[in-house]
Amino acid sequence: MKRPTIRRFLRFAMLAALGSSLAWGFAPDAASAKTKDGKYLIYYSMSYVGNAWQTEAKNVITAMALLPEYRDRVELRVQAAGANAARQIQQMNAMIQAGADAILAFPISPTALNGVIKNACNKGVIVVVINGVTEPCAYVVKIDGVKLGAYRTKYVVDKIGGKGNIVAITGVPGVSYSEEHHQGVKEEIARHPEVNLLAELVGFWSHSQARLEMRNLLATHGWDEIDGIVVQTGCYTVSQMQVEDGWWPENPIIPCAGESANGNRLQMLPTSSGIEGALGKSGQSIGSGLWAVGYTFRVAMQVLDGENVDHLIYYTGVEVTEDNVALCETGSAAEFAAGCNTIKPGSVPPDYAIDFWSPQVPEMGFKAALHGVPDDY
Amino acid sequence: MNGSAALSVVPLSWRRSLARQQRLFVAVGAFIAIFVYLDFISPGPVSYFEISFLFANAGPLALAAMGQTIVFLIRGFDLSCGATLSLVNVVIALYTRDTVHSQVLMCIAGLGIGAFVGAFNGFFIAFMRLQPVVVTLATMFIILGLNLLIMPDPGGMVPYGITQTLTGDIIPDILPASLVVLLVALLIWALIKRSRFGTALYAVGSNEDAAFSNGISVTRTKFIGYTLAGMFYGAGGVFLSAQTLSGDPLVGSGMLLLIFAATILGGTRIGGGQGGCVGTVFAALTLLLISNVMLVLNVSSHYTPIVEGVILLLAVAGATLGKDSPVTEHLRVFRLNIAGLGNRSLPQFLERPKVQRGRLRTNWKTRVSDELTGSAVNQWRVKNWESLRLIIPAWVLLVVVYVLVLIFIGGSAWSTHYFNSLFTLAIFFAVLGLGQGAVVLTGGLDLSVPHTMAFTGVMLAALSNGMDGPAYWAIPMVLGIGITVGIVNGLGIVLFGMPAIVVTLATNGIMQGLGLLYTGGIPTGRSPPVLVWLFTGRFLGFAPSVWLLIIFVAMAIIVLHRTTFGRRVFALGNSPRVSLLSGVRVDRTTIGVYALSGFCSALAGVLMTGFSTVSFLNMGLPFLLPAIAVVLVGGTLATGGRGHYLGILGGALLLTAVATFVTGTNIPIAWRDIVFGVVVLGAVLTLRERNTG
Repeated sequence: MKRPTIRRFLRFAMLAALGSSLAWGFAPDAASAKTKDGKYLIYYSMSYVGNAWQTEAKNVITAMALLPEYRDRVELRVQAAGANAARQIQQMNAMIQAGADAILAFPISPTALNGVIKNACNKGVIVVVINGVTEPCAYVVKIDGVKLGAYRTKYVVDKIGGKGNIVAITGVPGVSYSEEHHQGVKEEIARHPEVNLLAELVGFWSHSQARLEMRNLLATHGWDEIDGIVVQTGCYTVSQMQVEDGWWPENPIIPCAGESANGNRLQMLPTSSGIEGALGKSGQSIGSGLWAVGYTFRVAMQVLDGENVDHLIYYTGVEVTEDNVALCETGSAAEFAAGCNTIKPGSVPPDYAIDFWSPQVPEMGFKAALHGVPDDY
Repeated sequence: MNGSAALSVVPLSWRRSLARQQRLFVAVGAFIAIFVYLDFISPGPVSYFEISFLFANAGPLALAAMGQTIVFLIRGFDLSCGATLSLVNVVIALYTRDTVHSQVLMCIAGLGIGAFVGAFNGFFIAFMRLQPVVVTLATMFIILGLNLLIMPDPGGMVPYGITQTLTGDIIPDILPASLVVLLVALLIWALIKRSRFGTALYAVGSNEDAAFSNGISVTRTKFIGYTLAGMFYGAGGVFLSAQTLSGDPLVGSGMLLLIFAATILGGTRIGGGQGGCVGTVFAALTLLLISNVMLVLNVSSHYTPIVEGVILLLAVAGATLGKDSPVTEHLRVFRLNIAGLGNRSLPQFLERPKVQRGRLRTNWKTRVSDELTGSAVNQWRVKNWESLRLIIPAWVLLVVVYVLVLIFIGGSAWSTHYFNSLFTLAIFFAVLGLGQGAVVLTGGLDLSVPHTMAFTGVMLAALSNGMDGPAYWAIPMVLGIGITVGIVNGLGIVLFGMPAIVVTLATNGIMQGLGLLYTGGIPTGRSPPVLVWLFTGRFLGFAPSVWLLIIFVAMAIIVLHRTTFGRRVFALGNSPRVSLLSGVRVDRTTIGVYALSGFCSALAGVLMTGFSTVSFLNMGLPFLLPAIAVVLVGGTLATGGRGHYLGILGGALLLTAVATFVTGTNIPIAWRDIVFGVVVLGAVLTLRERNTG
């Protein structure tokens, strides 16, 4: 016969009690946040933590909270939910219960959070969301995907003289921003009868996925059949592939409009500059709004300070092309304000998003994105 | 043991039923422990609102996991449940109008859609006798495509009536509606469990043959089981719509792993026959409360995947610990071995005969078969027919797809360039196919592939940083790390007797966390040039990676089909018990198989780093499910024991060829998933005969 299970159960209960008391010991004083020291408690609910962009976004928000104007008034806590909407809903509700004054969120699903956001609003918690979310009581900082897709495509169409084959790389099918962007691309292509959409590749906003898909396409097509490329992420990789395949330098790099990766911008520098990775290519780089993540923090603070803020804030990125690409010396916020927009090679990986600075968050320099602290900290 | 004496007042039957319910106790106990702890730590008492919110939020997860529980009970495995949740969600959000009539109708339709998907799975699994993993994988891809066709991006509106009814209050401040929904679902489950069909479910799950001998229709039970499970997913989808007020074609996919975790944590055995839905519901609640614990403890976001992985492991370990658990058994044997050291106490008859030392001797050559007549070709065919039947379908389909490429894309597919691309792209699946294939052959599954792959790649890039010099020690080192991860997986499975899915899922999370910590979230460095050369250089007309693929295939065939280890893998897959009795060291072989898989993941990570020239933290994600598909399309039996590496290679080339076809012809994106699903299903349908045996 088996051993008496009740003993086993008791043992388990003891272990559980032990675990709980241990965790109790580690736990910070949850109630301390706002009430005791008078600071605002702001939470940032990340979705998943799997890529460099999300890490940068977290760093930028952390740096915002350390700016002199906010430092003494705010406590910021960052939590990751993973790629799961139910978890994020539960997490945001826990934030409300923990006495949050404001919640910043990068939503996994733009619709699934509506219920919990409504609940937060009812309790007087301010919710600021990056992209998406249809609940009107939230503050939404949002890029106009359709417009951006069309704008990027326009650049490429102009470069190729209004005639030729374009390859489009999308983001994640089924995600609002990705679909809007792709819709903009298709609409713009439709406006030019001599421009043809050669292939739509599913890029998942990942350089490695963009490369895999591009290689799939190149199995049956050649670089010579492609005249222009519009991507949500992957210009750096696609240009790099042309170098690997020996297409360049015999032919110019195919014009590509897309993400704000540092490598993408370095490739636009003239080869005569002697900078590693410079290809002298024609290209356009507009970020999908890393700085806007930092800006959500500012929006939350403005609302907390009683300012009147629009609930829907559309933003546009800073446009960088081969005409205005400029290398920074140190990457300080002041330098970005003076017009530089690219970091020297070697200090960051080529897929590193470089659009953390903008006039709305003029304090954000390279240090903020890399280490999560403002320049003067 | 004074305790047991004191306990003897408890009737034996009670104690027996307690023992049987140990897993349920752990699931409930874990929930209570976390809940009490949270109440302790949070300011103020737990409010009615919080409880009602928890039930509402856990509703979809719990209902879907109840469906998965039924599937587990009949030895199944359903990958399509997440996608089904989304399907019901988008249909309801899109087509429900704001009338009571429409709302009631659409809720019933939601259950119907779920049931239909379940019946679709059930048809292929029960009647066509296909393997659950591969059928539901194909269904998953088909539904994902359908979801995108129905609703390209999130939107739609769920009328407030549904929300009010399902997530509102029955009695304000006392009884939340979501709790009632869960209780009704559990009541339905209790009725099913007590019915004749319920008995059949458990009987089929425990032992199909015994159930059949006792007059239970196994096929009918399985078919109804899957349909019923689908209905629970449908209910989950309806509830999800009520809770989120709108539709999202992707929302369910992210919940898939959580659904598995809830089912296993709830005490249901993957092998079937044990468990139930009550534990599942509690596990679903527990898994969501983990978010609250993280928040209260203020766990840094980089540590989140690690902490989650460890919690999952601890919870499942809690359910398997005990006097008769594998770990106790291993400790006992270990102590006996220590005690017997230096003492040649092995009975004479157990000593191995000298002739059998070293390699296992087989006498294939001397086997005489009546069929071995006629020409040499015919003899070869007869001798290898069993393997050929597994290998051929994937290759035939590969030719079909190639012809399609020729027809629709034309000339360029004749060139060596096309084959160069095909082989280069297939190398990742070919490598992962060996590891995953070996694991599947023993009846397991390795979910730790994505982040083992990414971690090794990221580490290699950081260590070599664009130079060949460090690569010569860094590559062996990261391959060693891969093997170590595999050994850890194997030890978790063997020593603690935990399900492979849970152990590898947890390892995957831990590797993700380690990758984040190692890189600080931003991977730096570049691949060594020699690895880049593998993909961009030329050697005898092809990229060096193509020659590498050929070498790898030769070695894989030797490992799987020409070594003692390979034979043991097959033996283990056929029956661990018989293997053990035949002298196969089951534990060592299991660990070896996961080590092989870890090695292959690491090798794929190394290759991917060369392919990409830099490395990314998420670069392993696109490979997990397709690699499993490759293994199954290649003729491997998901319950283990049968398969051939040449079939897996065929599967790798087939799915790569399909990918080049859909991108080259620019088929609409939503249809690509559907094509992929149909190809997978079609491939295994042609394999069908083999699996009925």
